[in-house]
Amino acid sequence: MPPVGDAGVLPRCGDGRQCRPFPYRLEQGRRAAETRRVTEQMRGANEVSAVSEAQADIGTALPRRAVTGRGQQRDWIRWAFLLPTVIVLFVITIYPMLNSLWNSLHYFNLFTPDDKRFVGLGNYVDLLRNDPTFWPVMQITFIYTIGVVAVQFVAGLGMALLLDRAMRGISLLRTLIIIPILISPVVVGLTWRYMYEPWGVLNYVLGRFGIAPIEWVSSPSYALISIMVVDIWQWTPFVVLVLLAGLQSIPREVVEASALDGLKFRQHFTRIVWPLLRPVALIVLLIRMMDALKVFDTVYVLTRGGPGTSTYVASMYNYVLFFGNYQVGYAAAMSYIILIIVNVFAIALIFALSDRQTKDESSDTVEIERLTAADAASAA
Amino acid sequence: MAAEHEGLGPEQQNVAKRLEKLRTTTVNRRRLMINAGIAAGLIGAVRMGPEAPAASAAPALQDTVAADHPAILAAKEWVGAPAEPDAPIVLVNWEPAGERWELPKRGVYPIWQMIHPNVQIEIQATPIGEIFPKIQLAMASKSDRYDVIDDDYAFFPQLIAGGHLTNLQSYLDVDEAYKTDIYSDVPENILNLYRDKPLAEGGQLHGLPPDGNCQLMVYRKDVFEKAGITTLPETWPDAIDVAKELTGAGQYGFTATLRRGFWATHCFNTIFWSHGGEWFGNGYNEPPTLDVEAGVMALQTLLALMPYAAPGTLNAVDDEANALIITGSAVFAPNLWGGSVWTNQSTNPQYFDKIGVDIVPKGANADGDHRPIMGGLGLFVPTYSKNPDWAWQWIKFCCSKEIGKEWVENLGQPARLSLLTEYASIQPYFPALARSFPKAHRMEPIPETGELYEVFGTEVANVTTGAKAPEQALTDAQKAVEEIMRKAGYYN
Repeated sequence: MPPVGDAGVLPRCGDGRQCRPFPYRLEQGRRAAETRRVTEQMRGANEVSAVSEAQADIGTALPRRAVTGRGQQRDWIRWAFLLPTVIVLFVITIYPMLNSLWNSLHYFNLFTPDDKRFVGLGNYVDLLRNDPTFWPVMQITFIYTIGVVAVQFVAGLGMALLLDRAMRGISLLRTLIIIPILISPVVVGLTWRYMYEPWGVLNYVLGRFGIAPIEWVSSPSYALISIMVVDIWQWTPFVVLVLLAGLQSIPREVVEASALDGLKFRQHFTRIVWPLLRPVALIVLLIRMMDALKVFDTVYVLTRGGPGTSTYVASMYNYVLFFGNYQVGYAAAMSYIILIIVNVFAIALIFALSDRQTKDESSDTVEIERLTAADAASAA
Repeated sequence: MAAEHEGLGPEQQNVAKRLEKLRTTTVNRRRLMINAGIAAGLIGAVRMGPEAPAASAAPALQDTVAADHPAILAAKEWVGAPAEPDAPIVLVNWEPAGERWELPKRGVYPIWQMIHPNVQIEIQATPIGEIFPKIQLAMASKSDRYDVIDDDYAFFPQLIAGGHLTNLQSYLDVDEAYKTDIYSDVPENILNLYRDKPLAEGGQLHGLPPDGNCQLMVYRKDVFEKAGITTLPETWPDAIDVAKELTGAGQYGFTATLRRGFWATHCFNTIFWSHGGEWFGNGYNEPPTLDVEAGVMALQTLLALMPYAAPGTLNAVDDEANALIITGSAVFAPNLWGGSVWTNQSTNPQYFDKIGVDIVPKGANADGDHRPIMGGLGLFVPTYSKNPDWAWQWIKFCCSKEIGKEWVENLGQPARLSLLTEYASIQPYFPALARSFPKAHRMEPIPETGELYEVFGTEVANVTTGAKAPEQALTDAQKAVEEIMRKAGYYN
């Protein structure tokens, strides 16, 4: 009888039934249990080593960072190397952010700079409660974000799964597929703008099939979808790249084991691939979501927020507040609100994806430990 | 010495030895990085070094400008010019790039050089889409970099109020002949754009306009003839009828600049004012007067024109609306920003000689009149300039009528009525401008105008896209405008 729990062999539950075929979890759980036992052993050993370490100091129990001349010199050198970067970071990032935050607490019109006055959170309250444009703009932004991220992820995952195999020409295909992300977003926007023209190539192709021209970016009904198509076209390859890297980092033995166990694709994907891919998926979803919430260049080039207000996204409104209305304080407040919203979304996404992972792993670990203990007992 | 090098001369042996060394040298990554860094440093040092004097490709001045050019002769009569400097001085003139602003000044500069060879003008151009906030920032930071700046009249009130502009009235008063000429040739409503108050209230000029602009009605003469339309639409209802008549078979009878924001507001304003409406009919310290019959009529007019709008109109700025005219997609635009782009062969090769231009329609009601929205840029001298006297001389030169021909030939659009009449053969749309200027209506001279127009333009866009009814949009716009004025401190 082969040992229970080895990869590729169905474990037996205590009552003789076959457990669900989760060989990867078996191995993961075994490792987790082993790690916990070793850690506890080491904790005991560490107490001993800490004392030994203290005794090893010359004469007395000195603090970890020895205050010697040589140490000070090393610290000074470290700071000397770090200082230029810190200065640049402060000048171009930290100071402008703090200045912007300060401005957001003021009524500050660029035309009347002498009339700058402190209003506290007044700009934020005005935006959230009194501004008739803010919530419609956020609604459009959320629709845009959810739409592009969902399509990019599903399409990207599908393409990554297709590309994760050895076949002729796959390397060339992988290289070609990333071309869109190499192009500047402004260039992409301009190119698609010409394609979307009433006399552009898309309407030409439609005309060949007898379909009437569509006002891709001139009609409020189609403009937002047209911009979403551009974003999906450009950034799905990025999703493909990242997920493909994630797929290729899954241990081959696990994949082969599932194949040997005769798992169907759906089971293979939902029980093996997806749990291992989840951390990578979280990263790519986070990155795409943050980018989509802040979209500006594509909208600016294609529609400038029109026609009407059908593509008036948050970043576009923020741009107009400063460069159109010259309301420095109000625009700064809008920037910080966008920042907060992006952070909230990011935290929510991290929480949603990582919490399930922890729960699943811990329950599997308990199950595997129980099986291991039962097998050890029966072997004994 | 290698055997194969024997028999070679000393020089040849040197070369052979060097080639041998090169052939046997191995290049590792470290060496490659070091060499690349040294090369980059050398290139950077050369690029940052002193610039070689540019070879002048321009012909000598005496070959391009006649010594008896009218401007040279007139300049000798001008009063108040400072003494010619002994050593060259450089004035910096900041201009929006392209026609109407940068190009005419470059075109007339050789004449200036003949008159004042020691006063050089460095013309710096910035795209018009970027220059206005940059001017505002430069003035707010009291930059002394610029001696003459060309800015939209809409920004003059706040620049004057901020003390950023030199009062030019005292310079102008020195030369009575020149002042009389300017006052008689440039419409007073245009000069008032650059005063702190209207002339009737004792206003003083803080800028002078070599340039003028307003919205115009543009149409295809051949299409009108073919449709049997012999009279131009006089009122807005006439314009709607004409638009309807001309739409069909891939041709559209209407276009305008209806992009959300101030573009849409400009379009609305011309129609609103032509029906007798005013934004602040009771003064700035009272709530605005937008939610009135004239406002409803204006929005309803726009809504009535939408079925005949060429694709792209809803999101068009002037470039896009003009492109629709130039390509023949749209054949009629009752109120449009534009100009030489319509009537020059280079910019409108297909229809340049078929374009007709006239004053915009008027409202059909009792208070109706032609009221195109005023445009135009004016030159001012920042308070921080180190050469205000010579800066004024350059402005005086650019606004003089003697350089009119070169100004117009270099795509200038003068504010002087005499030049608009005299050079109609060069730019066929000039007579329409001359007819329109006295009727043109300015934008509100308050710092909040930009913000008001952006907010209002969103509501106009809601109407033109069918998202809101005109009455609801006006009510919402009125509320939003009131709130902005309240926050700005005009009333409680």
